[in-house]
Amino acid sequence: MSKTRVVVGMSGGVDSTVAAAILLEKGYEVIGMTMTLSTPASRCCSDEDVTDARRMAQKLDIPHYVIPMHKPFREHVVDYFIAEYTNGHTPNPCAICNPTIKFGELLDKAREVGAELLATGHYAVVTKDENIGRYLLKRGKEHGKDQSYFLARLSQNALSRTLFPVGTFPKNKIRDLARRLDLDVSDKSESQDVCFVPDSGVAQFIEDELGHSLEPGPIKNKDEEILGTHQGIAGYTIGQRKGLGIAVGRPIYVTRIEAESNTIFVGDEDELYHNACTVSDPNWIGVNGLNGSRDALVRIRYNHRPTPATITMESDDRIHIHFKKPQRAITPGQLAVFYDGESVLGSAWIDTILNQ
Amino acid sequence: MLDNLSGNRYIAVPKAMDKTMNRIYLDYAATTPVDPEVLDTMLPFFKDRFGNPSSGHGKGQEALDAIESARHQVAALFNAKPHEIVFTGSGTEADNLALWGAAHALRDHGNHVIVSAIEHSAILKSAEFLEESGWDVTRLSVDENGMIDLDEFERIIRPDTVLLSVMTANNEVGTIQPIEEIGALLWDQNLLVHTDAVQGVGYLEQDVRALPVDMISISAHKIYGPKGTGALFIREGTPISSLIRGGGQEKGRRSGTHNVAGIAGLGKACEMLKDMRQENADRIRNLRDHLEKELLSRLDLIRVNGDKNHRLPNILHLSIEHIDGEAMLRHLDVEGIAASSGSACASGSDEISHVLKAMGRSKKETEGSLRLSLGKHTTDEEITEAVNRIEKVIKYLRSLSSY
Repeated sequence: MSKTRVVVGMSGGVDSTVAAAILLEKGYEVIGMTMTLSTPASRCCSDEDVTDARRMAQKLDIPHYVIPMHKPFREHVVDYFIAEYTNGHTPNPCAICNPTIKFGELLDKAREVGAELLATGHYAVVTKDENIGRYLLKRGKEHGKDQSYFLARLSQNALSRTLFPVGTFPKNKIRDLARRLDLDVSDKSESQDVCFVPDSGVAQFIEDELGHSLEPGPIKNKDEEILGTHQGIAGYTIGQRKGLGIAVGRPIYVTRIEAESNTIFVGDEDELYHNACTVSDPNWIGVNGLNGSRDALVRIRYNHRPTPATITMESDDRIHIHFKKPQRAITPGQLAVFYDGESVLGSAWIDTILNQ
Repeated sequence: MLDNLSGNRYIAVPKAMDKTMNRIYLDYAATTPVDPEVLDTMLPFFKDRFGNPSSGHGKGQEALDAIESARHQVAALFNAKPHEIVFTGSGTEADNLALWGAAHALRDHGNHVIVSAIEHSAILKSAEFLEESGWDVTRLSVDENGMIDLDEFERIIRPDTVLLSVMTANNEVGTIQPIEEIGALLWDQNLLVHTDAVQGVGYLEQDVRALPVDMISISAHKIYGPKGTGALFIREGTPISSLIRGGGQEKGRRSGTHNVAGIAGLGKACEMLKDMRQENADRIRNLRDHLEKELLSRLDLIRVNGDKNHRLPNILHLSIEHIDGEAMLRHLDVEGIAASSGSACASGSDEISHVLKAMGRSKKETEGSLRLSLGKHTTDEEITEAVNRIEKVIKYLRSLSSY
C-alpha cells in the first residue's frame, strides 16, 4: 500500500521542521513547502527563512517547493489589516492569514501535488469527535504556548485536512527532538509583532501602503475635552499608554477609537474595564451553532487567559458576550474565541464594547 | 510514537522518498550530467596538475598544454582554427562578450544592433544594456512557430547596422533558425553575425569554413561538460573589444586565470560530441517523436510548440490547456519526473515566457507550459514510464479544476 502523502508548511524554524520529522517517522510521504510574501521588511517568510527551510528539507531528504504567496497575502491579509486600522479597529492578521493563506491557498497547493493533508508547526491539537461528526480544535498541551486562538477561524473542511504534529508535545520536548534529530534549526524568537510590519511601526507602514499621510485629529477625554493631537488613528490601540504625548500627572490610556470623527478617547485605567461586548461573523468548530445562550470560557486576545462568560445569540450573525468579571481593554477588531475546557467552540470578531 | 521519539536512543534522520521509485530526468536542455570520461579528464587539474597556465615554470606549462589541447578540441568541433576560440566562464559570458565586444569595437562604424525577439536572456539583456548605453536595437519578430522571417532583414538592415545576433536553436521550443541563409544574405554586408549555439551545438553541425557567421557561443554544461565554462568562436580578423580586463589571458580577449579543469572538460566534451552527435540525435529524435505521439493520443487540448520541420530533436514543448504550469511541474517532480516550463532561468517568475509571447501566444495559452528535453542517457523504458506519469498528473490536475 502506498504511503499517505502530506505537505508540511515549513518556515525553517524548529516546530515545523520537527513536525516534518515526526510525520516521516510515522510513515507519511512528506513534501515541504515554504511560502514567500515579499512584503517590505517582512520578518516572516523571508529569503533567509526559505534558505533555512530548504536546508532542513535537504536534511530530512524530502522534496521542497517555494510557493510565492504575495498576491493572495496582499488581498486577504494586508488589505484587511489596513482597512481595519482605518476603521479604528485593531486587526488580527494571523487569525486571518491562517484560514485564507495557510489553510486556504497552501492547502490548495498541497492538493495540487496530490496531498489531501497539510501539516504545520502550529501548537494546537485537532481530533475528530465521531459522536457529533465534527473536527475539534483543542489547546496545545502546554497552555503558555497554545496557538489555538489563531486557528479559530478554520472551517471544518480545513480542519479535516489538517495535522499539527507537535501540538501534543511539551515545548521543551520539541527542542529535545530537534537536537536528537540533529536539526540545527536556529532558535528563532517567537515575535508577537505583526510579521509584515517593519520596525518603523504600523502607522508608517500604513502611510507607505496608502501613499499618503494619515490625518491628524484630536485626543479627547470622556467629557469631550481636547487634551492633545494624534497623528492618525491607525496605529493606536485600546489600552495603549505610551506614545500619546499627553502629560496629566497620572497614567492615561486609550479607551476608545472613533473612526467617524477621527478621534482618540483617553481615560484612567478603570475606564478600560467592561463586562460585555458584541461579536459578529461566528465560525463554529466544536458545535454546529448556538441556540439561545450557554456558558463558555472566552479569550479576547492571544495573551488573554480564557475567562468565564455567558454567550448569547442575538441574531444569526451576532453574539452577545457577558463576562462574569469586567475585562481590561476589550478591543474591536480582535477575535473572541470561545472554549469549552480545552476545546474551541467557535470564534467571532469583536465589534461593540458594552457595559451592563 | 511519542515513546519512540522521546526515548534516549539515537534516532536516525528518517527518509521520506521511496528511493526505489526511478526518477526520470527530462530536463537536459537545462543542464546535462558530466560524462564520466569528461570528469576523468578534469580531475588531475584539481590535484597534481594544479598549475597556473600563465606561469612560466613546468607546473604552469603543464596546465597551459591542457588549455591548448582543449582549444584544439573545441576548434575541431567547428572546423575552426584554435586561435579563433576564446574560453569564457559561461555561455552567458560568451554572449555578452560577442554583443558588447563587437558593438564597442565597431562603435565608430555605426550604432545599430539587431537581435531576434526569442533570444536567450543573455543576449536580450545585453542588447538592453547596449540600448541604455546609446545603441539602437531592433528586435526581429518571429512567426507562430518561432521562426524568423528572412524577408524582414531587407527592411530593417541600415547602413549603420554593425551586428546581428540570432540563435542557432531556441532553448524553450527548439525551433532551428536558418543561420546559413542569414549568413549568406549578410556576408557581403559590412556587419558582424553572431549566433548563440548553446542549445543547438549538441545536435547540429556547424562548419565555420562553410558557415558564414563571425561568432558562435557555446557552453560546456549543455553537452555533458562541467558548469562554469563556455567558449566563443571569433573568426580571425573580427574586431572585438574585451569585457573582462586584467592579466591579458586569451590574447587579451578575456582576462582571468583559466578554469583549467573546466576548460579541459569542455575540450573533452566537444571531442566526444563530434564522434557521437549524429548517432545520438537520430536515437533521441525517435524517442522524442514517440513521446510526442503518445501524449497527444492520450490527452486532449494539447498543442506542440516550435517549428515541426525545423526543431531540435531532443525538445518537446507543449501548451496544455486547463493546467497551472507551476502546479504541474511540482506534481511531476513529486512523481519523479524532472521537467521545466521552458527556461530554467525564468522559473519562479510569474511572467509569461518572452519566447511564447513573441510567437503570439496569450497569457492564458501559456499557463500550462511543459518542456520535456531528452538526452543521451534517456531510455525507451523511461519514455514509456514518463508518458504514464505525465498522463496521470495532467488528468488529476484537470479533475481538480473540474475541467
